[in-house]
Amino acid sequence: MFLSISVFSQDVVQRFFQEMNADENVTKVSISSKMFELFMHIDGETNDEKELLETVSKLKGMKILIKEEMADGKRLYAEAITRPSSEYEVLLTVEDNDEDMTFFIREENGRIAELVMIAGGESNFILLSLLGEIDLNQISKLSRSMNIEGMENLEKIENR
Amino acid sequence: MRRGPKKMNMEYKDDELRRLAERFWSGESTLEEEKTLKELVSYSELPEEYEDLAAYFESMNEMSDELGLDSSFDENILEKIDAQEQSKIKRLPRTRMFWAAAAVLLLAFALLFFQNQEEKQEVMANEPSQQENHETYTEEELQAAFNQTQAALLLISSKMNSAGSHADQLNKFHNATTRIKSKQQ
Repeated sequence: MFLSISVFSQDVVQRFFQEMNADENVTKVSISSKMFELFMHIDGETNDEKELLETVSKLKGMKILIKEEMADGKRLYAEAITRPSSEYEVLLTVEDNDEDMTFFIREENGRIAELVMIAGGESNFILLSLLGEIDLNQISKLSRSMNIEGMENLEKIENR
Repeated sequence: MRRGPKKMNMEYKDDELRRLAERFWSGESTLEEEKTLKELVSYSELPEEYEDLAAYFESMNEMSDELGLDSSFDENILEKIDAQEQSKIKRLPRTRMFWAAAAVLLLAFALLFFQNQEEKQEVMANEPSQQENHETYTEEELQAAFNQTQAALLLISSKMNSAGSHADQLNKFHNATTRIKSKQQ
């Protein structure tokens, strides 16, 4: 049961991972549940770090797919947002000139078990899946307290 | 000592003839010697004492001619004898060959089996260490993974917040739904 759910929940991102496997311009990050367990051994020095560790401690997996310098990110975005099955509910949609994005959530036993973020701009595309016990409040607080813009962190990921 | 009847002088020829004839009659001559003897007695100037020998060889030749026995007779009959002997010999080894083949196959299977067992044992022996390896990420790797997670979470967070008041509404909505759900449970 657990296996079938986890396989199913990974489906959207996993399929995109496979489809874009040959694409050299795609950056893929996959963090396993094992790695999240190991994060527990990291000691948070500042309050922000401790808060972050608390959020992270409840997570079980993360997959990120980033495509940059592409021709039409918005078209890929339009295709991608049709992928999540009926299990996924749209949480939030933002559409503007720079970037469109949609947040999906999948609930299990009344808790958010997966958060999927799909975003597409003129020349970039992001697909992100977060598995585990997800507290939207806490995640929302993270960037406010640290006062860091999202795109700067995106660059951090890509440089690795 | 020179050999061969054509190069022999008469004296030597007589001596050789006598020696070979003696050996022939006593049944000690080899096939080679018998052949030489036949050649020697076929010479025209043959001492009288060897005429019976010449007559014997001549009659033998006539007889073999009549019977159609030529030099290939011996070869043929020897071949037949050989073939019979071989078929007799073969019959036993055929079963032996089977058992030998079976033994080789069995040995091969046994080797494969034990090899597999060993490999399995090796894999089993290796597994714990591999798991240990998974657990012993270096500090740098762990930190890098953590940084990526942090960056990703911040990305989500900032994207959420970039929706401005929507995010606040979202939070309120989420808080409300969780409260309702917790009451239901």
